[in-house]
Amino acid sequence: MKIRLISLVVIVLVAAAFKSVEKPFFSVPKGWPQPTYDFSKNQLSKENIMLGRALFHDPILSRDSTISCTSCHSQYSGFTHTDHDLSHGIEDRIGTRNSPALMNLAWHQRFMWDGAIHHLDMQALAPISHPDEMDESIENVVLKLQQSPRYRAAFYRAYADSTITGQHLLKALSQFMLTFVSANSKYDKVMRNEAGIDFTEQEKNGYRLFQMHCGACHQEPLFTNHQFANNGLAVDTTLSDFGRMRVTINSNDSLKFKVPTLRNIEFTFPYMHDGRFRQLSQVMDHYTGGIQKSPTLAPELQTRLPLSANEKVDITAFLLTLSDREFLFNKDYAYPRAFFAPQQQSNKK
Amino acid sequence: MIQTYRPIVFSLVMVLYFATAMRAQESQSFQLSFEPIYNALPLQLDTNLADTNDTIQIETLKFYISNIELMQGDQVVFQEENSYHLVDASEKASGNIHLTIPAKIPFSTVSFTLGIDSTTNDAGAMGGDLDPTKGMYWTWQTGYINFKLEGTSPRCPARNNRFQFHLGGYAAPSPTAQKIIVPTTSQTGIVVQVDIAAFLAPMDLSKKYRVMIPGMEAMELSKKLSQLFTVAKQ
Repeated sequence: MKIRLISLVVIVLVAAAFKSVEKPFFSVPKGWPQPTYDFSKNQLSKENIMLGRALFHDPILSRDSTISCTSCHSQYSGFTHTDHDLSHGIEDRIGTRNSPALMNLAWHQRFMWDGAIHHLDMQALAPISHPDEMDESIENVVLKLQQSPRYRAAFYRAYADSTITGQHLLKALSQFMLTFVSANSKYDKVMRNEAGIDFTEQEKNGYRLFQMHCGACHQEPLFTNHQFANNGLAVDTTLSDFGRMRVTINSNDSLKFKVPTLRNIEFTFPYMHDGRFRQLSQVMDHYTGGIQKSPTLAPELQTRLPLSANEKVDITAFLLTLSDREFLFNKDYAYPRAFFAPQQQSNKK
Repeated sequence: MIQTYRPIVFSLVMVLYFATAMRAQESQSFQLSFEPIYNALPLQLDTNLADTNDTIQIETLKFYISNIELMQGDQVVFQEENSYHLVDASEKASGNIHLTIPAKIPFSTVSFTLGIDSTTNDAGAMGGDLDPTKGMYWTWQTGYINFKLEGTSPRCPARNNRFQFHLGGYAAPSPTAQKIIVPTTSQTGIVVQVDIAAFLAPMDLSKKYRVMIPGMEAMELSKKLSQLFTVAKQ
């Protein structure tokens, strides 16, 4: 009996040890809602995430092998396109929108500034086929990958099937992107009551003001309510972009764009769907004095935000606590050197 | 009393169970075929269409058939699992759908959907006939193209006289998938003819030659599609 008990304890301990060694690929941060992505239909695995990571970094997705996902979604800027108001793709062609930052995608149900894409799996199809982005087709990407022994092996490792399909390609990209969880900013650590970390007085005041004036749309903890809203930007007549109305064909959606997350906002400049603001101070000034009235203007913005210059600085100080350097410099997202290393020649004659 | 009958009841239930299980194992096949036609003749791609004075050519005809069910009255007697089929006029075999059904079930109608239901449209990347490499998925907006028809007509003012109908869209207010029910007197298979002439004839290709986004137009045209499907003489 005693031996049985001891062996049981040993088994439990060993199991616990293994569990702590294996870091989960994805976990819901403390206090966050459940993700909307259905992981049961795309169970994460090391091999599959690595495949997605390789694809994300590989310009083979574009027609002339010049543009990869990282071209417009670089990690150190929160997976957006640093310094570019409108993103440029193949042959320096310029698109019509600012590339969105990518993080915490497992909680998103609508993608793109206008929500045209309804599922993370299908998102990659848009940039792959857009003539100003990668100007390629998924059919041809699959053909190109099928000719690569490296990818045939990687698809086999991920799916036990070396025949590459569009479904497997898209699901692998999702796997990698699902691991983009940013939840280790100073804000998160303060919320988790981690020892030795607290807001400064300025950040505290900024947080209070943020909750009062911004939190309805930029809802914690994801800092977006996943809705579409008209935040009173004047129409740029060179683009004439009316946002979500193009998708729903409903005039009530005119000038509405997806409410972006504010996490890592320090690094995701320039701001807004067309990247018109280079600095956070310009964003603040817009909300206190630049709002253009129109029939679909968000109800929260009907009156200008009553913020003094000092208060705007305090809010900005709070927003800077949303920077998550562990996320921005996480090596698990970097270019997978080992995957692309030259393969050893076989000794076959 | 109940105690004494228990073994008998038990064995009776078992016998019944096995009897039904045995019967369920007996199966037969039913072939549901889709045959594109143009004015009663088989549709030929890339050739001037027969039986018309016009020089219309069809280059591409592809459509999805899903959720196939066999019905007796209002009762569904058989439902195909994972029921998604892409019928492509350039691959004749793609029009022949083989169903394995329980033997001797009675049915008088076949029900199917032209297009893809909204749940599947929102379910992420799918494989097989639903794989996005099949050219039947919109890249710039989530959703399957239910029905794709492309060709040329001298009446059509577009570049290269090309007309293009990519009909789809699943969201309100303009869903496009069509439930179609056809009668069957055969228990082994039917041929459903899809008359493309009936779709094009009432249309003025000089004015209406391109619908490639979801919306009211796509919905209206999709409703007409359901009338193209008729059972060939058995």
